[in-house]
Amino acid sequence: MHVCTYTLMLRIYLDRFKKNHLAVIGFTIVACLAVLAVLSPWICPRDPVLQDLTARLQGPTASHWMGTDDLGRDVFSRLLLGTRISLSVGFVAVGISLIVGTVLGLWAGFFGGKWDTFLMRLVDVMLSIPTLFLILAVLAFLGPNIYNVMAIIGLTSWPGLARLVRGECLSIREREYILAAKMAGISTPRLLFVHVLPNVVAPILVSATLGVGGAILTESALSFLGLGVQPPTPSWGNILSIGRDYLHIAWWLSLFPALAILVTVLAFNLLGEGLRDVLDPRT
Amino acid sequence: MMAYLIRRLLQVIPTLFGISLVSFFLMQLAPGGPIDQMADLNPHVTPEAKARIRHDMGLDRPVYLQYLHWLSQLARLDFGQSFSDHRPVTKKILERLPATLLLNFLAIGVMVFFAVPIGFFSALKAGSFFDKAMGIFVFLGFSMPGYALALGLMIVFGLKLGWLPVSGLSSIYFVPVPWFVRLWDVARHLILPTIVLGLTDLAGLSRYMRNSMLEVIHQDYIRAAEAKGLSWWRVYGVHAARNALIPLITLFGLMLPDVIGGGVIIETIFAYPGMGRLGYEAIMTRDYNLIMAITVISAGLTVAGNFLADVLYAYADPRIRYR
Repeated sequence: MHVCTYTLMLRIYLDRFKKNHLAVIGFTIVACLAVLAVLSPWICPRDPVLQDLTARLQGPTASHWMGTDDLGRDVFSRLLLGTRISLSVGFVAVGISLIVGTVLGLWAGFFGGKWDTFLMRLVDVMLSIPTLFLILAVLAFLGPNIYNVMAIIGLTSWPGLARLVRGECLSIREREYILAAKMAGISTPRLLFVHVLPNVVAPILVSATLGVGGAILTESALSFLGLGVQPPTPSWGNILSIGRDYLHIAWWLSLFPALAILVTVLAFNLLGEGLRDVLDPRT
Repeated sequence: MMAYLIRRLLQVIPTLFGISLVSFFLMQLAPGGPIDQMADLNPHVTPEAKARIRHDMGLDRPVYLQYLHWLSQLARLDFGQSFSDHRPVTKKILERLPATLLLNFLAIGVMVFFAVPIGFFSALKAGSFFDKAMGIFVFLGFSMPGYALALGLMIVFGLKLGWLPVSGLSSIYFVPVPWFVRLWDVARHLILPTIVLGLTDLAGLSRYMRNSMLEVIHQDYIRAAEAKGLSWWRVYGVHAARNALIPLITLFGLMLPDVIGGGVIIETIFAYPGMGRLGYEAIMTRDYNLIMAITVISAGLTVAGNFLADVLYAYADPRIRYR
């Protein structure tokens, strides 16, 4: 397609997006979080791993804005660093699931036949096994560290995306412009990537944005259970798991990480739903 | 109908095979295998002893033979012995399975009980304050980590108000008590875990119901029914709702793994004696046989649930039986 068409489309989408106030809020929050995540090591008011056992379990004060945890570390700084962990896990995991899901979905949807049947059975199997349990088991075997967490979340969330891509492919491959391109003799890879893929991008983008929120929730659940990011690296989930032990005397250890997770995932969900309204206005 | 059922049943078989493959593959991931795990705790274990145990457990045979052996055991529902206490795994799971089934069943009931009316009325009053408020509730529901909510409810209802117990399935009695006291006690213990587990996917389900209902009420037959002069309840509560609920049956199949899997965290937090918590403990103690058994059984339950959902769907919507 001509470059002018792309810029025109982008302008239309941007206009539609700006009208959706909730989506704009979501986007702003996500942008702020991204900035915070990148800058966090330099803007922490206190050292996030420095223990100060004389100042254990203190409530929010002027010097510790969100209080201290059971080892006297500043909760606010740990929360800031946790932003970095959560966002990077979210983006990398979704990136992995995007690549695997899109490739497999395109292949199955476009070529059909036994590839399609095989992929659908594989998706059925993967969706039947309780994901969290599977992830926990794999992490227990391979060792819990952030790279394993990213990989395993990515490798268990591709089935949904693959199914989506395959569905879109099935409807697109019958369209006239695809038949016309085939008749013009365009090679198959070019057909797939230049003619089919741009039309599938919209639902993929929506699913990916919503998927980041889901990946962040999963990572925090894993850290909460002790099989995600390991201390002393701060993750919102593992601050919450400390908070669970001191629930009755240190509410700040539970409330602030929970709020952080809530606001972050909410922002990605608002952004994703906003993108859906912009790119697919028929719903 | 029978032809459809048989076709559906045939599709289940490769899925079950796939599940057995994935579970088996899971065990192969363990570096060193179960023998090294056991031997690490005891420095006196000689390499000969390790080799002997490996041979006894059949772990030195080629992988495909081990898989076939695992498959034959699976067919007999013999999952071997648990590594932590050497009791048969099947027995351990059967002890905990009823509690988990009860919790999951109740949680799904709670989910449907709240989601369907919320979706129903949101669609009928689309654009109103109620609809917008429910929309916000739905978004919050999607974004909230369930276990954090569990902790919050535990503080409020368990600690501060003291109304509800926060762990286990029943209290300890020092004197014999009548059966209805026991029943009420179990019910009180079930309240918090059921509510938290029921909140999984509640938001999504209510959204789906709302969209489904919106599609239905713009159809011609609803307009015809209203024109005929049928009562509001008959038109919307009977005709519209019945048609709107049909797509929800398939969604029910998709919710099942979330509920069964979500049970793992919820049961652990509430110290509920179910299969989910057994699975968590098995993972923490690297008890491979138990882990694989729970994986297979949970996945099997999901497949069975999906099959049931498909049968219900075929029963409710005659159009797909004849495809």
